[in-house]
Amino acid sequence: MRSPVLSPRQFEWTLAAFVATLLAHLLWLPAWLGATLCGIVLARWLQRRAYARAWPAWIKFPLLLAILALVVVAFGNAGTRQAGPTAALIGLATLKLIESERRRDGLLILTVALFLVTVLFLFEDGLGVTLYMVIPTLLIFLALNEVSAPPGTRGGLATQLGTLGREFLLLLAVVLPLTVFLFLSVPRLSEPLWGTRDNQPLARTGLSQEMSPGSITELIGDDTPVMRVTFPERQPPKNALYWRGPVLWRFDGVTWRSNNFANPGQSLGRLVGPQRGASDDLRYQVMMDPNDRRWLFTLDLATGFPADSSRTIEGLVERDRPVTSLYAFEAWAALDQPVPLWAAPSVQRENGLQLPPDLNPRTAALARSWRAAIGDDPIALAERAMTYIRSENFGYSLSPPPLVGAHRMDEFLFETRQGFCEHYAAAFVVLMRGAGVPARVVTGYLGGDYNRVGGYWIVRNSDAHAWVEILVDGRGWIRADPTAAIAPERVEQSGSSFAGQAIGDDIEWLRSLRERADAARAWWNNKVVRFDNLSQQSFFANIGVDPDDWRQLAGWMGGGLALLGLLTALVFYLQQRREPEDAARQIYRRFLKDLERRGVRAGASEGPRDFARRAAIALPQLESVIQRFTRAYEDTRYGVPDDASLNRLQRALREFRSALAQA
Amino acid sequence: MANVAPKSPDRLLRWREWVWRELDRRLPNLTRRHRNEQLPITLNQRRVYIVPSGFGLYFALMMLAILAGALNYNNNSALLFGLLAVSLGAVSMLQTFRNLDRLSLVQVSADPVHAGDPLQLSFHLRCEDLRTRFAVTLRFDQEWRHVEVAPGRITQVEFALPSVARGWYGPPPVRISTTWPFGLFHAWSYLHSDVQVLVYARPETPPAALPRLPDRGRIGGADPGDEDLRSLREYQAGDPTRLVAWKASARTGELLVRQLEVPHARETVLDFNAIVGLDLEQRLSRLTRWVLEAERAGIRYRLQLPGLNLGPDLGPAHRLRALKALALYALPGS
Repeated sequence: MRSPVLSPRQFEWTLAAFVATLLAHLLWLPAWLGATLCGIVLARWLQRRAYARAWPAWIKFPLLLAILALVVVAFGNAGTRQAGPTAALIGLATLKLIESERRRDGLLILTVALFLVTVLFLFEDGLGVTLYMVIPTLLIFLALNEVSAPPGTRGGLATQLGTLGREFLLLLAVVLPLTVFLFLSVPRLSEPLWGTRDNQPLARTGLSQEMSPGSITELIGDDTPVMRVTFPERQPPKNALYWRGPVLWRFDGVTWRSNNFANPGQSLGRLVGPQRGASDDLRYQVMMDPNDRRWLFTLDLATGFPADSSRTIEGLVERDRPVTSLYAFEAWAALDQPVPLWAAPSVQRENGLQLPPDLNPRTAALARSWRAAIGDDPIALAERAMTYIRSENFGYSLSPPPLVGAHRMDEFLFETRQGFCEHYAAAFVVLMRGAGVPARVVTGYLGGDYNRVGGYWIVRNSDAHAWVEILVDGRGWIRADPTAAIAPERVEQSGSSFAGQAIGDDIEWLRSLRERADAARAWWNNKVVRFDNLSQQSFFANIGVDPDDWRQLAGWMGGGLALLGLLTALVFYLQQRREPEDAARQIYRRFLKDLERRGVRAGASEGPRDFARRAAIALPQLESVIQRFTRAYEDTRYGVPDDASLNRLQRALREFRSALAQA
Repeated sequence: MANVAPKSPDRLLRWREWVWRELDRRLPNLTRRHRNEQLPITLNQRRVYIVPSGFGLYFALMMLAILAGALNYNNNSALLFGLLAVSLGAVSMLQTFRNLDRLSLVQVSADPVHAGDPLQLSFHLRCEDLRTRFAVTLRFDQEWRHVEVAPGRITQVEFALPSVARGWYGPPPVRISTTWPFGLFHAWSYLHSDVQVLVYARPETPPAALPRLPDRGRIGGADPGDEDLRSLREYQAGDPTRLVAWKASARTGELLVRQLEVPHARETVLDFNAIVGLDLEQRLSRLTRWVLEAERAGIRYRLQLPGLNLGPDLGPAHRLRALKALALYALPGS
């Protein structure tokens, strides 16, 4: 039997389910590719409303080639493993839609859409997206329900208005516990069967190995979470939360760049994890969002860090592969301990003094004058520079006048005098180096927001910061934060609230709402997204089941499924017991309501015939219609109710109502 | 089969019998389609069979691919949604079964027809509980009907099929099936009721003239001669040759007989044995036609079949008795 043609309703359900899935993928698809696909879907929708016919081959094949070409252009040589094939699949499914006329096409589209729902999570698995994906999933099943219904019947799970029907809600009541049970029970793999587990890198924002003008301002406007941190033992002061990121040494007059000290493979001064800090070190747990980089942002000085990572000569903790999915680790810090010169002291010193020659002569002169006045004590020179910044007419601004000339540090220090952490850190290092003190720029994050609901600190991109370290003989690299000199409140507040971007943070309920939402995200990340082989083992240990003993495992599975079976039986039993109002009774109820408005109210146990007699006495001019209606109603009650008798009842109600209106 | 027991057909026979007995015992639904049952027939878990549909198998493969991918990449969000889909699919098996469970065939009705006319069969379905049954398919005689059965009322499903022979007709089993809600599973059952529908004999066409008794008051009056010739009609097998109007026939090229217009009594006798030159079925056809004609003209009639004498009478009950007698006359088992 040939697959039947999709009715308009069936086609539109299929389209809705597919579009809901496609919308989620627009998060990562290049905008122009997404726009093209949306345009095709829209055109197909309008066309099929006009007449039900597939698009001809001379449109289809050029479109196919065009879309594949777009995908190749977008992902061809980007070295991304999953993006290209997924984009191609989305394109093919969109093209399938333009030739989908029959039920089997619809079913194919819907299963591909279901596949795309799960594939999306390789790209994005935040709580918001996850919650949204419930919509396409339900739409896909509702569409399956409609499309698989034979011609002339309806699916019945969604009501005419598109809302969920009672049947579907009951189905979900059974399905959701089953899903949770299976989620807990399905054995997780400790090693992948093929490929690696790295998620698809997205274009993610975050710190980079460079600092050029504006690179930090960009981050300050971005409140993407970087990580969430819990201090289980004691809460450190907020101004001690300097989360260390890349260290920058080389300055060319505009941009600061990292050195090759800490490149992978450099073993000089490197300490390989896992390490545990001393007992009085500050212990903390980090849940890091994927950032596609290898840095783990830790507090100085990192004394404990996880396996698969190491502490470089610069004091930065690096993982041996990028953080491409949620990563949890435990770390220890000896707060405010300087970063020692673990190795290559002369190279570090030399690099810490590098300056672009013949640039910024006024700055260099200023630094030389300090050197001549104070001597070579690095601490005293640093304090001199701090005093200079504090006492001169400097200001903190996130939108400072742009620096455009060749001598940008001169321009900043002597002319514009407006800037934020990246300006102050850069100027400070140039001043120190000019005065003969080895110095370097450290980028990272400062502070964070304490979430009172979840009891953790959340660090966002907007907390991005740059500070300075100077080399003090015998002690190592000591932190100096010139931004604290010009804007001490930045150190006390989070980046976004200091920048005045956290609108409504002073409105208590709004703030509390935000904290709750983020705590939910953190909970979801912790409990669901990160539920792996190890968490599964500890889950089984907690409920007292040994997953390696097959009998205990079978007992758990069997017991769980039996309980779910009981739940199912209960739900189905309740469904059967609840009496839906049948059509006849509904019509009769309308009749009663009309009479009630005229002051004739039916007694609780009054039969239709007795009531009719009483109503006829109260409203004698309506006697005949009341009697006729009641007889029609009794026919449906005590005879075999069928369409004809219901129609008679309906007609009788109409008669009664028109008589009532005239009376 | 011949290789199994070539030497002893007895054993083969016994073996086959045993297989059928076991099937009958263990899988009553498979064999039930060969048996008739009293109405109402209510479907239950022993009668409803369920298997994954073709689409269901494809869906299962897709889900396996999704779960394998999700587990491999340790992507719990993907796994969660994959499992949600798997759970929905698995529970939908129960829903599919429950879409047929406690559904009853309460009645099979048909208006009596004459052999050769389409037989309108109406299957009356009812839910035994309070759930609506969506997207139920009935297949009967290579035809499909898709219906929705709402609770608290009878849903009728009509099929038309040609009726071939007069007598009692037992409709073949109707196959009831559903793939609701998602098309992943296919549940079906056969409903084979013991309802028998009476098919009347085919009335003769073109109709032969109703035999009339002459009005008693005028018997012995004018001889039915040419003077009373009012019209001619086509010759029909069994007409006496003396009535053939040879001249008129030669003119028109068709064999015509004279139709006599005699003043008639309001009563007649339809006698099986008075019809000559026709076989049994043709005689019954003619008698059936005459019964219809007599009823239409309002003439009391007596039906005489060998061994049976009905009437004289007129009216629906008499008509029913006469047609039934004609339908069942000389049939085995009646």
